[in-house]
Amino acid sequence: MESRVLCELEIDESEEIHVEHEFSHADRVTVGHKARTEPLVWLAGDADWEEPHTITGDEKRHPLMFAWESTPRGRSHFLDGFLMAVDQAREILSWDDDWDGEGSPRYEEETLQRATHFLLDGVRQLTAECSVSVHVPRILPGPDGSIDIHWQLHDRQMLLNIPASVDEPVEYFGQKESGGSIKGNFYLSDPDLEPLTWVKR
Amino acid sequence: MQWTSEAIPDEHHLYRRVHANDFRPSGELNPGAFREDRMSCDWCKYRTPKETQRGGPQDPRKYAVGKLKVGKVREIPNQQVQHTPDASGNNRAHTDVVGKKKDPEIRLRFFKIFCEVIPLSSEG
Repeated sequence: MESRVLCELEIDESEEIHVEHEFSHADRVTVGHKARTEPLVWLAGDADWEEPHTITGDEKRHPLMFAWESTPRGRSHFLDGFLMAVDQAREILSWDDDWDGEGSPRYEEETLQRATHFLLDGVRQLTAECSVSVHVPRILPGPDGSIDIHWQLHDRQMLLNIPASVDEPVEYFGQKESGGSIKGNFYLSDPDLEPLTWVKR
Repeated sequence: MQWTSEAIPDEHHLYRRVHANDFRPSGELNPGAFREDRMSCDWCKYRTPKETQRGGPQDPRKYAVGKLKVGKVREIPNQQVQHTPDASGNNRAHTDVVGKKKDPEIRLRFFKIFCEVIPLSSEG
């Protein structure tokens, strides 16, 4: 069986890159200031990630957290699509208040981060525990500064809303063309992965 | 000019302006386009889609227009269709769809019944 490993990468204030390997060990790679001026996306294309190579990205993208799946054959479908979805979603962070002429508020980086963290953590958990992979969603502007995560598949849809306030619950609704549906809510402090299993590949 | 509020038949349509930012780069609509708890629309009895496109606060080229069948809107939970003519805006067609929209089920259901009639980038 093909091994699937999901890793996280964070860049903290000391500008060190921390890499945690989900299954075997934790490690740290220090790159210092070089990481600020050179491409920031690092990929472990195979198990030998102690010598990561630069593949894409620039300082403008500058996400504080990355994740990747490492398989013997390289990156996963999910990560490729996910990075593209996050890139597209980041455009909404440049919108000012009243971006629609109807008084809608701007979008905060923290809200988008909560959305991406939920997705990555959830996919990581499902991959590790159940060998389940998930379709790549679109990450979209929602009401009142919230973020929508939308899966539009050929036989079903799922819409999951990450609120702008951490005090409000995440809400989701999914519907199959054949008629079945799923609906619920949860707080990000105790995430429910049921909506993700509903859109598994 | 004062207009009275009228009952809107189920088989009629409401025209809804949708801002360019509510579309993805691919041209697909976002479910977040249906977000206001008082969602302004125009009743087809008194306005054309073109008039609806020109009735927004921004350049008409920033808006697409779609239609919603009134009977289908009324099937969405906790949504009410209220004809609210706007004398100050000289808009007898003005209609509000009133009800909470944050619930993903509500927005997905609007998303599914929305039918685009003027695509984005059509001159207003």
